[in-house]
Amino acid sequence: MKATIQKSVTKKQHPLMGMIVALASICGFLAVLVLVTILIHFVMM
Amino acid sequence: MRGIIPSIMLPRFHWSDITTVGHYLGVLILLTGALMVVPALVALAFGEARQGVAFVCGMGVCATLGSLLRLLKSYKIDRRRSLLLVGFAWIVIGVIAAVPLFLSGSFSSPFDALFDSVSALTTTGLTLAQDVDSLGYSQITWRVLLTFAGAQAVIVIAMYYGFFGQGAQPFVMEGRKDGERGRQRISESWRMVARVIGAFALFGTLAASIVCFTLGMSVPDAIMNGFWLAFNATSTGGFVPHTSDLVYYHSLALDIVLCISMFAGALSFGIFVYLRRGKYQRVTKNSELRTYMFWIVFLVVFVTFVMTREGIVTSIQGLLVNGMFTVISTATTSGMQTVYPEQIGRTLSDGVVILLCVAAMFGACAYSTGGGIKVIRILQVLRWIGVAILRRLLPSNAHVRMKYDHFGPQTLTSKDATLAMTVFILYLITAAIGSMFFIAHGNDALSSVLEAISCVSNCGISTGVVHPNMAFDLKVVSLLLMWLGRVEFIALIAAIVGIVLSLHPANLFSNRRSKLLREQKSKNSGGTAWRRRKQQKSTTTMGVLVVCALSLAALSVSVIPAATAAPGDSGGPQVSVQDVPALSDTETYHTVAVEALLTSSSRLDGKDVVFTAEAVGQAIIADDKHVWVNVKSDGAMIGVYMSKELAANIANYGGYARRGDTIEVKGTYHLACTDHNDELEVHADAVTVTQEGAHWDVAWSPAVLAIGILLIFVGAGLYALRMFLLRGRRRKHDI
Repeated sequence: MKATIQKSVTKKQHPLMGMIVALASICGFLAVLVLVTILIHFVMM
Repeated sequence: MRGIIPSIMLPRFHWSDITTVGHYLGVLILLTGALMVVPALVALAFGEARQGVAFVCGMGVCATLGSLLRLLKSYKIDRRRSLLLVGFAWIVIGVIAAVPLFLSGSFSSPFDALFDSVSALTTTGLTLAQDVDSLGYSQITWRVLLTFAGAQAVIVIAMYYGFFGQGAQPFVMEGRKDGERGRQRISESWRMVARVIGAFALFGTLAASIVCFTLGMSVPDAIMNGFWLAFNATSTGGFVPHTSDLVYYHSLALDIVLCISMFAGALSFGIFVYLRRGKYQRVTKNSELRTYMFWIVFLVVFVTFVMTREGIVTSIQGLLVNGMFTVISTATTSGMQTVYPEQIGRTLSDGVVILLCVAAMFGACAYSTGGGIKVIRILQVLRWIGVAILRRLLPSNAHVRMKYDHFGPQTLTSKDATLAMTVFILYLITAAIGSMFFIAHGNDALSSVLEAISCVSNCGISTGVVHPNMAFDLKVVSLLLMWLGRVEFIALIAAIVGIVLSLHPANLFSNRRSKLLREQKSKNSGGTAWRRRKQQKSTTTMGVLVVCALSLAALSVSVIPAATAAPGDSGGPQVSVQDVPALSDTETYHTVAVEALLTSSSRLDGKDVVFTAEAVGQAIIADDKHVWVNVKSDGAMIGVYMSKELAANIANYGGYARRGDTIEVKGTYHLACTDHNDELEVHADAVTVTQEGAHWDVAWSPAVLAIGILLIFVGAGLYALRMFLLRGRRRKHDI
């Protein structure tokens, strides 16, 4: 059964909110990578 | 031979397939011509006359050729025809897009221009431009637009064909693919992809432009640089209009902004669809996303560990810029570099380079702008290995099901696993063959492997082996690697085999329906059927032999001249140590070339050096009292940290239609300066202008402009002719 794009089956939030959440998540992951880098640096030093 | 020929009939293309594909290629060519308006306007805005004329001519070529092809009769665009279209559109559009690049004069040959346009469309980012720093704003904008268009096309094509199995059902544009409904759904999905990816690119442009403005660029320059970098990063294209790549900007803030853009491009498009719908659980449960995040964390940990242990890069900022950024750039297959190409193998050790090769090969997420094998396929292969092991351990009547989450719960089927393993093996074989070509031309093994993987995974990270003066056959091989990697092999191989098998006139021009009827009759008759089957087998055998012969011929033409070449004449920069002459008692400065600074060992670290080079680009603000001036000599660029007073001596900087001041720099060389993100640089003590730069007007050809305008009118005429013929056909139909 081939699926098609679901239009408004569920309540859709504002597109900008989705983008903000995505950007925040990416920034959060980058922050994790920075922390990992700093941690490894201090452990090795 | 009987074992090689499949027992089923291989699909052959008919003349109607070619006209249909030609028709839709015409549509794509017309769209390409419409897109050329943007760089033409940029050329007009920045006074780049020759470039503007080149783009007008390009538009004319697109208008004429596109309208001509649209006169071909089109039939229903089914899966087979669309496969042919997808396989060849990259090269055909690449040829068309190369026309303005070649006419602009920045490339030594039409093939180099074609290489650049294909590199842009496949989001690889490698370039054969004679002087990247002298490209006009319109040419750079054109490259960026091609990369952006190619990136979106990748997502739409992957969605349309379901390249990654059943996992993306909730947002895949499936349904009736044929006829009007299929085309409508493709255009709808393209608009959706463009909106999402475009939104991230615009956000990145805003952030990058602000950073560039704080670096001292003027508002137009800041906006253009921000636009190029952000759009390229979001498209995981990796093209930076400077020889030293992102090192030119000397900005940690810019690197962070581009990291965000690269991630946005490398994540699956479906993630953004579900985030937009508020289905956060679907995103957090996604197995591919989790695997990708875990993989990147592992890469960062390993690279940071190795770099810290080696002691070349010691500061945290240096580890972030040289280590973390390089990992993210490679794992997302963007290819933007914060280390000089010559430094790969020095600042980044061999172990790190090998890991980067693996990261580039694994690639980004499915349904993203990134290249490589794709994380979901790696996941499917690993899980299938798990299934095989479990089947061995468990009783024979046990039923093993491996589940994972990819936008919903999925069960790993043998079909998905077979497809994943096939693509995995094809990538490995192609990368291995590509590496052999590079090695045969005298390049060292590690650089060759990295370049080959960089091409086939459309990553674009480079040690400098791919350069404008490399052998022609290497350029051809690199282009083929980029092309194969982008269309994911199977579509292209299927299309080529189908075309070769169809070259027999009987196949190409026969009426298909009557042919099918004849085959059905021959099954019943027996005697003539035997002769026909023998003829078909001989045609199939001939087709396979032709493909093998062509491959062997290409291989021998490339390898034999390279094997007879003298050692070390590969012509490109190598990962090797340059001999540095010892200082005499009276000398206080080492006289070196810029390239020697980039490839020297730690022997020069902290020593005083003197060199001569051209100042290019513009002065980049470093702090309150200092600026960065990037200087270039013989194709090698290095950043010089100097006071604003010294920089005030430099009146001209090199760029489009201008040569910068030639300056003699005396200063201290730092292999990894801890004050500036462990960058390789020179702290200038004295700067002397030895030759003033110059500006000149770039001559443009009225003949080329006239041809371009004429071709636009011809194209418009052909378009009108098609409308007239269609109207006549409709009237006849109504009657």
